[in-house]
Amino acid sequence: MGKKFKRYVLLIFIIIITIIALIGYQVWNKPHEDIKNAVAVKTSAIKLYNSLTNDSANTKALFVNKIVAVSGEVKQVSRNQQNQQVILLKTNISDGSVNCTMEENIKNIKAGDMILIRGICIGYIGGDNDMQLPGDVFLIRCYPSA
Amino acid sequence: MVLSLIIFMAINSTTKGKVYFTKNGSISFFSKTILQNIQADNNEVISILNLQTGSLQFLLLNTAFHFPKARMEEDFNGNYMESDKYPRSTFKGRIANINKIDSSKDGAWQANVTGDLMIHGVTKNITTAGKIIINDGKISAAASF
Repeated sequence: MGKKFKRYVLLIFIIIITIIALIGYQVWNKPHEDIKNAVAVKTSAIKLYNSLTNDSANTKALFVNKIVAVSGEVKQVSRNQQNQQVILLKTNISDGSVNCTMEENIKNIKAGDMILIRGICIGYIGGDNDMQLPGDVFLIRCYPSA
Repeated sequence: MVLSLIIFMAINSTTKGKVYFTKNGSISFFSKTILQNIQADNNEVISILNLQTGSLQFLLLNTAFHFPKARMEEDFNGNYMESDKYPRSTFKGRIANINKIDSSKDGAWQANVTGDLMIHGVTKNITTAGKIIINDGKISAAASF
């Protein structure tokens, strides 16, 4: 084999390795799902809560692990352990809410405001039957929606 | 591999008599490996503490664990946790020495907790020591194991 031939093989080998490394790097470092610009399933807090506490698995699948844009009335605004804003939206159940952990805080918001929030709906966690504590529908990675 | 799990009940907990609960409790895990740190936070933990009976419960959805690396989060919910098969992790237990904890005073109290931890469909009975911190009428519980 000539020297030139060997060099070409080596060069191609290096290029292939570099491409594989770049692809691997991209996959490993890929960003979290874009919530702000994605197409969201639109619903209201009351409808969403009813759906996840009553409906069949097929209907729930419309919302669970999907990006949802929820409209509703604010019940409470607070902060969690990591100082992220948590907004609770009213439902038909007094101790049950649509619980939204914000990735981007909403300014000037208070109980009674009507708001549209988008985020990933991870589902409903039941509360405690003995205590008569209903559960919440949880949304994470939330942003204010137009 | 060192794994530490820290449980906090959010500071804005609500009470019904002697029962404190929050729906935004916090559970984090952290582990150091040679290549990467494995770290995730879940701020959507329903935590219920009954100061009278000592009963302590938490319920959470595995998909709420947020990892800084999206790929790690995908792997966690996929191969590791199989979150579509086992969406929830729960703990149901009791603080053994609840009688020794005076909730009317501010302070930090050691809490010895025993209970059933259910993860990935497997239930294990565990015992660990944690702390109950009472500050200005608000309660937080912390444990790491």
